Amino acid sequence: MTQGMSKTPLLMVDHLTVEFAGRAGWGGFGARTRPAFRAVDDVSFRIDPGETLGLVGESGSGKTTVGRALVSLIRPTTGHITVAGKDISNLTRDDRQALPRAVQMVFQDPYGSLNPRFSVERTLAEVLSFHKIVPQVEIAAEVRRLMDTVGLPASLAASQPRQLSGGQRQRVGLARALAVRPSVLVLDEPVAALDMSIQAQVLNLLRELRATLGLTMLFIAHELGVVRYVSDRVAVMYRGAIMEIGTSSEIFLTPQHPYTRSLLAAMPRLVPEKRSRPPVLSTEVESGTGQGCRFRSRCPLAAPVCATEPAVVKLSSTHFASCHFAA
Amino acid sequence: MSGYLLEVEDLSVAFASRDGTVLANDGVSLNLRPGETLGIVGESGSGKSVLCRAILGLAKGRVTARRIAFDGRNIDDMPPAERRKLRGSGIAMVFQSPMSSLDPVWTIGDQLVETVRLHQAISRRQARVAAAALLDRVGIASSVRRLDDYPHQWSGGMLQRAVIALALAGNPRLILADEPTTALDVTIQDQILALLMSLQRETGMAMIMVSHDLGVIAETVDRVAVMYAGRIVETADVRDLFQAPRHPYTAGLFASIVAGSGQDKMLTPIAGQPPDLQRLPAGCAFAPRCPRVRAECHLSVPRIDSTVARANACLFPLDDPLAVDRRQ
Repeated sequence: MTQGMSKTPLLMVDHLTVEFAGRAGWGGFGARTRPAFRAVDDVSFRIDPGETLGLVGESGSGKTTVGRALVSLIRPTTGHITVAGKDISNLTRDDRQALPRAVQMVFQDPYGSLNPRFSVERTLAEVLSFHKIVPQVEIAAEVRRLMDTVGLPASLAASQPRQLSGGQRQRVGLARALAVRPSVLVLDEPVAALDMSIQAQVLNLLRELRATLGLTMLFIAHELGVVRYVSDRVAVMYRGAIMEIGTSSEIFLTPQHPYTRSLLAAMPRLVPEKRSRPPVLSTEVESGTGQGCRFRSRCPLAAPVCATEPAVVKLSSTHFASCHFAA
Repeated sequence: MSGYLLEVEDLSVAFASRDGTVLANDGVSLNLRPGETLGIVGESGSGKSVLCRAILGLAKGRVTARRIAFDGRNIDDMPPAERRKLRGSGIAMVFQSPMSSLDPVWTIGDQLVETVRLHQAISRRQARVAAAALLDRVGIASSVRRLDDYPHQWSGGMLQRAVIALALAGNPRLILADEPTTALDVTIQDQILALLMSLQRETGMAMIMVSHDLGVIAETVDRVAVMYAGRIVETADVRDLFQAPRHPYTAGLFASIVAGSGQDKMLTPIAGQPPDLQRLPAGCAFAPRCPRVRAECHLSVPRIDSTVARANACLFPLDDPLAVDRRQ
């Protein structure tokens, strides 16, 4: 989806498609390969400097695959990813190592992404020295500064991941990503594994860092409230494609795509009243690859016209939806 | 007769660890009337899952209680065979992960048939009919054909429906639902909650809904018990709790969740880290994080009065604005 060119975007994702090769069946002899699975299907968006784009969707929507393509953990099948004018979508291994600062990722489970034997201090020092971010003599001071930035008390410098709480580990993950001073930070479900009271701490920290460091972020999450809290704009994905993209208020206050509306309506409200309403959607996600709109088998508005792929409808200079009925 | 379906009095569950004994549940008391839904809210380590397992007699640690009674009968006094029978036909459980209740190498139908025949002395053929009927009740289309599917052929939402069908097999009077929708997408969560609520209306069974999600609690329960560090710290009617939480921890939870308010309101997180059960402070376990803490809070553990409808375990609870109105 193309949008008004007000500023030079820092990150451009241009017709990104990611396919996973079909797995071979059991038994090599006569084994057939299944058709390739298209996890991301012609996705385009941009993020301006200092902006946070939220990426929401249910499991299988392709949101994590988009994030992994941005940090070169997955190679795009077709399409381009440009950071600050440089195409990073088809880098060789050597190119990638020379370009550590472009995009950094913070993962959902800080436990799985930290070396269990490294102290906080060593985790951060390794990154700083490997990428030669600061001279060797300044590393200790830089570690302290990073810990301070993410709100980790200096007393935890010698602690190993297992000695930290979930919230503290996620702060270490964030500090490690910030250590290389990336242009863009990709956060994949950064608070999903955390307790409610700790979620709020980390979300507030992200908002603070966005304001003080001018961070540019892609914030991937399934929880709509959380996405709204930190995002300037939001993209809603369904089965590999963006259904709707707009400013936070456009998506949350005046959603136009029936899928976005369903997601919002399905969210439990904080109103203490026993529910008697039927479910918003009565069916589950289908895995087939039919023609036309990919939401139509579940869509309350589905009509014969939906058998053709809907065009992207421009609703405002920032608001776009892929639906025959968006207007 | 008390009129209660479930009575739990002074339940404690202790685990032995390298650094001594850890109390996963510490003096928990609760009551549940027939047909009622009690929500249990708490964060990880608060003891809410252990509590469910202890009620079913499945907790791993050392369980002590003054009384756990179902339908007026003390569970501890029951012979083992009767206790086993209670699980399923009296009380059934639905876990967060459906695969912890299903065996991957058996078909869905086999597992339902086996469960149905545990509860009723009927032939396999009759049990198969009953199994298909159970799948119908939980909203699985073409139920007869799908009996021969294996769990891996089903989506997470369908599997959770199958687990609910297994739970219904013994016509239980109480369902313990431990985070039944936490692993599901929001549109599927919406379907499962609607299903549970309609089954409850249809059968009149009571339910304990364990969740960390206050939104799920708001939509499904009559009363709420809030747990912290293995203890119940506040109980109230769900409307009263959402209108005016009294325990500072409950109030802190409400202040730290992203409601529909969007970006304008800044969240107020609870300070500090969740409690380490191995190193609980002498007094109130929430005291180190509490904005209202005073010296007295560190002296002894404040206990909750479990005999009244609205209670909290706090020496300095938040005022209820309505209480002032009532006094005038």
